[in-house]
Amino acid sequence: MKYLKNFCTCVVGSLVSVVAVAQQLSEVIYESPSEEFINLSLQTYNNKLRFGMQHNYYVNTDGSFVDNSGEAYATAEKRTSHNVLSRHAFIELLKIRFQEEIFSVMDRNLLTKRTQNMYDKELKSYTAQQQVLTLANTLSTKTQKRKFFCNDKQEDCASKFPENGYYSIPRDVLGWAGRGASEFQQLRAYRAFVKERFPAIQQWGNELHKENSIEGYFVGRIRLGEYDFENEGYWLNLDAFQNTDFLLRWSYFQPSNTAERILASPKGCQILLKLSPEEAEKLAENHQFLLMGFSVVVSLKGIENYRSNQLKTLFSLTSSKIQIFKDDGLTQKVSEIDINSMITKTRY
Amino acid sequence: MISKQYILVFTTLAFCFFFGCTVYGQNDNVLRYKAPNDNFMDLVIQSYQGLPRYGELYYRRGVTTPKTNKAYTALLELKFMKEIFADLNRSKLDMYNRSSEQAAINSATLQRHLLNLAGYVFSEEVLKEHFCDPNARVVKKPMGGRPVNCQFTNSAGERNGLGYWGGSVSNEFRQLRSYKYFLENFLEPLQNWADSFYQGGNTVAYNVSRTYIAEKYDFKNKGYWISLKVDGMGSMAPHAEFLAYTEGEKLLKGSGSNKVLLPIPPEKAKSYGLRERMSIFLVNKVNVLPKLKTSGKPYVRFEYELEGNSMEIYKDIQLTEKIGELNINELVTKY
Repeated sequence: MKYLKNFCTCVVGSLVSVVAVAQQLSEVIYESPSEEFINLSLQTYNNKLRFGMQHNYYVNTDGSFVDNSGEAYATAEKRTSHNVLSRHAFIELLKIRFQEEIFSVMDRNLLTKRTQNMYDKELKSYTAQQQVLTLANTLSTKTQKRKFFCNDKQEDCASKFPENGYYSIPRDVLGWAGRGASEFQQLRAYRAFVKERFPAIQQWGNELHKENSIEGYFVGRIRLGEYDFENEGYWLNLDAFQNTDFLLRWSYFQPSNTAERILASPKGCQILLKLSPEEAEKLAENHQFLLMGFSVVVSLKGIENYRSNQLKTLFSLTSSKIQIFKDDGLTQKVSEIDINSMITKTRY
Repeated sequence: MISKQYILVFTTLAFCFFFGCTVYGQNDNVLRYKAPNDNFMDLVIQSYQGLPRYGELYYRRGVTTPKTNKAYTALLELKFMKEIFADLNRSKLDMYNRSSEQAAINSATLQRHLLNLAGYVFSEEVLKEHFCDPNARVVKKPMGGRPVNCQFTNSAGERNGLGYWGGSVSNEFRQLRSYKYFLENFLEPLQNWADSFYQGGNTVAYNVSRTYIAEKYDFKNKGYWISLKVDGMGSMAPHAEFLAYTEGEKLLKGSGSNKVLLPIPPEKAKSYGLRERMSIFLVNKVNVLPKLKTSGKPYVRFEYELEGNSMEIYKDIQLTEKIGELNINELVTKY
């Protein structure tokens, strides 16, 4: 309860509430503006959104894996599917404010056909319609999907979109009106969605972190290299983070002072994690990876061009302390390094 | 032709004598570093606003002051190679042998470097005396040029590198004599001279890069979209790297295919006479931090970082006609 209170003071004004879940993994719920859309559930650390490497739901707090035949496994699967879709939806929503260029010329009446050579306006309209399709697929609840993405003349809509707690996979983008739908059905579905649902999504997207900056916590996973006996520690190679792609990558980091410039060195910064040989041996026996966490503020930089349609983000540090953990859940801290007193070298 | 050049050098020297400066000439800004003694030539490099100019240089035979860039760079490299001088074999020449041992590789590289430096920096008299074998067979140049002996400059008046110690292909006694004489008499003054540069291990300079106007004038955005690619240091240093830290610096380095807006009002754009694909020149103030790379064949890499956020853009390589200035942190890009 205390946690809940703390959190609410932090994120005043956002459409959020929070659930503290088991295993000390905390998530924040971004409530959808209407019941036609799904709520988003994103991972947090210390009440801040967690970017980069995400927590794996299949791992228990003690480091063991969830039994793959039990109830817990199904729960982990469901939560993973919700998290994956939520992250995707979050980014698609953040893009909306930068997409005025394409939405303003989008044909709301007819579907723009893709051809070999398209004029700029047609290409923008086509891109916008694809974006609407993606948003519709991502954000619609199962009930809505039955309406917009199911052809009940050919399919059993109840079994195609069962209410089983699983969320769809972002990659699976279904076409309007379902399998085998005629062009009349497709157009009806598209027009209806654009008219009835899309304005609410657009508004949701525009209001989400509308100041274009988000406080968060960037997590990078790093392989534990070889112990350095001379310097008594492990060298942590900052530009070799693995699987760090929720919203941020290490290369998006913008240094603002000398110490931060060392971290961002284009020659590849390595930080020494001091550990005695005894501690190191114990660590290496059970862990192949370490997780590094940075308190950051993300700035949304827009979409560089509508053809690639990618959201551009940069981030800077809000604290000079880097936390180092043993586990995905960021519960077991190994050390904390201050960048003003760290020992570094470059890779070349 | 030759006499004309002498007059130019003489007048400029006189100018410097009276005003005690290193920069002279109107369209021809150079820095002159006085040699410690007559055995060496003065070093002359181009400058911009009183600082060394690296990257794209302005050269026209007979118009610009002859430069000694190779000598300047080789002398700097000598300074930053100090770390491996312990490996220098002072009793014999390793440079014509192959070895897989790091110390021997270091020694051979140093000997090769000292020979190059000698060719670039010594006065004609010293070269004639110690790097020229009048009795040697005339060696044909690899590119089929005129067979010459004891000729140290090319047709543009720039120094060639030397091929052999003592100027002799086959006489190993003469080679070794020349090498030992060099170590005894010239190495120390050269090292001392080298130490007078880059005090503190770095220097601030201007790096000029050539790029081009990517598109016709953009009336909507009121400017030209230009392409960016800042890396290396042109002929100034064979191994150079621009260290890009921030987003703007990474854009400047030009790894992507981004274009950057150079705002110019339409009426000015017309008077500048700029066209699509035309070359333009970016001038960045940089902090140069040479580093010795020691694994394998050692070499000095001239790494540099931006000094400040401002970049000037010129139409001409002489850097006389400025067409704009950009802040690296506020670049407007498009794909």
